[in-house]
Amino acid sequence: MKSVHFQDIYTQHKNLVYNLALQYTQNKEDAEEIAQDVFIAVYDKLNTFKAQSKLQTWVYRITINKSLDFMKAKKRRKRSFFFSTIQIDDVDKNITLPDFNHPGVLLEQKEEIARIFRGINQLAERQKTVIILLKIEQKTQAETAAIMELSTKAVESLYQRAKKKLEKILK
Amino acid sequence: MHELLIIITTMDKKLDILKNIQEVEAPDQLYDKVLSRIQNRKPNIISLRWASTAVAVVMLFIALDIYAIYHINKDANQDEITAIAPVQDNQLYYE
Repeated sequence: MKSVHFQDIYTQHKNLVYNLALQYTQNKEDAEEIAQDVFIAVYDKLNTFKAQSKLQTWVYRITINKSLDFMKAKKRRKRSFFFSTIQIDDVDKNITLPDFNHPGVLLEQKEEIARIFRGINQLAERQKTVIILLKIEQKTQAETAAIMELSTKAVESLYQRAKKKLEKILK
Repeated sequence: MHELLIIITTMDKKLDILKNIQEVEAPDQLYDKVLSRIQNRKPNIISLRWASTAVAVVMLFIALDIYAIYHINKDANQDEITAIAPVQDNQLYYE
């Protein structure tokens, strides 16, 4: 019974999860790994889902958390690799690895979008999430607030701060 | 303030390019990989080390309880004896 229900949930949400993970990682392989983690978490927590929010909102939250966890773990692995061999003052800014492999980006816009994503990747987690939900997933402020469990004012405030920071980074 | 508004409006326009990112289909093999990972997971077994630590902590609490109860009872007995035969330890009124 659980497996049938889970398969329905998977079918309904697989593209949502995979694409959202892509926005965080901009990389097909990483997005696939995150998507697997998400659906395993959905499978494990299905019985505890109390429908206090919509199922889609719940899946969004799991995907966001798994994506952020994955990126943190990846950053830690990169740092430990580099610090074990050479000394670098600022790993994030000085080292650019060819990870940008977003299949949803048109070739003619790849350079510009990759540049913007490099800026987005330097934002704090919640600022990054709000940019992704509002500008890429094209959620409304109300929908974003429901997913992030914030007020719409808080979402607006986060968005404004994210834009100001992006402006400085992308100069 | 006016400059800030311009910056924020310009940034909005720059970010509008992100709307062109297209949705892609999740890989076909994703479901099979998820099922495979679910089925191949090892059962959650608590390690012997953690189990031993938990047992040791519980034993310690039990021992402390027994110690506390023993001493409370001992003091209670002492009080009973004192109540029956009050001890006069005031040496000024040595009788």
